[in-house]
Amino acid sequence: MKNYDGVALLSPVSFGYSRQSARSAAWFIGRTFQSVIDNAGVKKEDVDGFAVTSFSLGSDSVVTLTQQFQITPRWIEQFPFGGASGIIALRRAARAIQCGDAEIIACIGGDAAAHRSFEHQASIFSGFTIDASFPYGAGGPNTAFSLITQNYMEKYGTTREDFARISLDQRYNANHYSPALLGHKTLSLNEYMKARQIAGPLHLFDCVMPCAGGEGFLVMSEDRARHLKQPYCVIRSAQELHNAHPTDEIQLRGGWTEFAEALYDTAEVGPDEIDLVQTYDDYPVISMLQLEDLGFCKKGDARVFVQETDMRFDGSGTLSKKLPHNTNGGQLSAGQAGAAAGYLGLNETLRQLTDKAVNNSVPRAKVGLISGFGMINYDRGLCSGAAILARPKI
Amino acid sequence: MTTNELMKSRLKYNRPSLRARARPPKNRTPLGEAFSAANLGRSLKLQYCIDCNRFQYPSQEVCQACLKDNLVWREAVGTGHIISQTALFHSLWEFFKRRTSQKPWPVATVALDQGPIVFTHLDVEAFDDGKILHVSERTQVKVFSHYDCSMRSILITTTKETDTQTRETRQQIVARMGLSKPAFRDGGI
Repeated sequence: MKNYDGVALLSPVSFGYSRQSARSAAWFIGRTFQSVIDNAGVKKEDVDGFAVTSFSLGSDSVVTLTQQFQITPRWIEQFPFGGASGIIALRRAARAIQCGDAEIIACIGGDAAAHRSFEHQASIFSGFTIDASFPYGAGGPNTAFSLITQNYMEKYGTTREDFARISLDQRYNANHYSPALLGHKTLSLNEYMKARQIAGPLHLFDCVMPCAGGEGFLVMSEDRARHLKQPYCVIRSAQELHNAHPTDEIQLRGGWTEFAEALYDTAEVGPDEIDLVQTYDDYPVISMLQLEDLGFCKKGDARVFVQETDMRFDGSGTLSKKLPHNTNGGQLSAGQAGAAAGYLGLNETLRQLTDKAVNNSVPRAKVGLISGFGMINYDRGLCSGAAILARPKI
Repeated sequence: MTTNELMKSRLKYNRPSLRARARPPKNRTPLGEAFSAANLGRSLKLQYCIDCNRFQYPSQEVCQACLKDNLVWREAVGTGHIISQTALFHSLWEFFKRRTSQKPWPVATVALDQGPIVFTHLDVEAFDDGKILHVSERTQVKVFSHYDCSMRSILITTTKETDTQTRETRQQIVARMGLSKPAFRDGGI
């Protein structure tokens, strides 16, 4: 596979996170788009590629948005792939830049959260969901993940205290990232353990909070980014795989197992050289699957890994091993802005590697790994993706 | 319609929590409706590809293996083993919100001996007198279908020994689980 040389990612923006909003997705996408180009000093007319990620656009799509925003792109794309949207967007956009199909691409994710909209979205998520999972208790993704979590716990002996390690360190990170919706609250082990039970082993702080918000970034050539005098990141490697391991009875691994080796080989780094990791954390068990499948520990050993590893952004925890993980609190503390949540880890990595992180910056970070996971169609997540980003070589 | 009646009907539509009667989700795709129809009065019928000799679930337009559409509804045995089971304490849907406020709602995924993996309600009372919620992994079980009070076929997991031969025995289980009647609210609309 051809590498992603010469492509720059820049101008990460997280916009307008709120628990509930009467605004529609087009508002979140439009306002995020405006911030993204403003921050980079790019004119709207210069944007000739436009990619959109959203679950709540309804009858609108990326092309109807071009008329709303009065732009005339020669390249459009839409990635409604939940937690893998960010990685899929950066891969597609990078190829379009390399091939000259577009010169400046804005990738924008945005989702609304009106009263009862999450219930509606969960009830019509997909054909399988409508016919075969929503009628059984209507728990939304909580149900599928409680079954996966239950199975994982029994198989590997993982306990709630282990899951708490992920939630607690992420809350600490969120306390230093102002847009995080739960960032103003601390979380103790006692509070975590005593939280309201939601589904089987899942309690309140194991579940993401759906919210509204927008995430966006720009993709262009390195030359163009240098010309704009903007700090940027490069893509060392990126991979995706969909409907991996279809014959597994229940999800204990994702597509990462199939491409992790190629991912590291292309990037010419190993898991031990990664300075910060952003996993897709709609539930702690999913972060554990990613850490295992991406080689940070062996399958089933995530419980040992999290008990040995300090995952705070500044390494201020007491544990000896350090790995800054979900350095802005992840979705568990920042909130899950629908499909835009698929950009959260990517944007956080861009901020860290372009020195735009304000209070939660990881010291001396050079290489970051992002992992994406998306689309619970029936009993498992279908999309897996991962990318390794780095500061440009000067 | 008087203004009062109109406002009431709007309120009933917009605020499920105010309804006198809440029912399980009724919405299905055309394939889901076909599944419901095929299972009326039957203990379990699933989509079957006559070319591949293979069952599949959830219902789909084409065979997952050969991508042709020589699919029929065929009686399935329903035996299998539990993959994972859990209980819901929270739901997005008013019917289950009212049920889970009384006691947790048990569900399970089951691997049928004939192939498909099915997502089902769990007849937890058939196991250990309902006192212990936990049904151990890989327990041998039986899955059958029946209609709920939204008149849609749903799948239920029970013990291998439970009698599910007749419509009456299946109806009893569904009634015991609280699926045969709406969840009521006193003074609701």
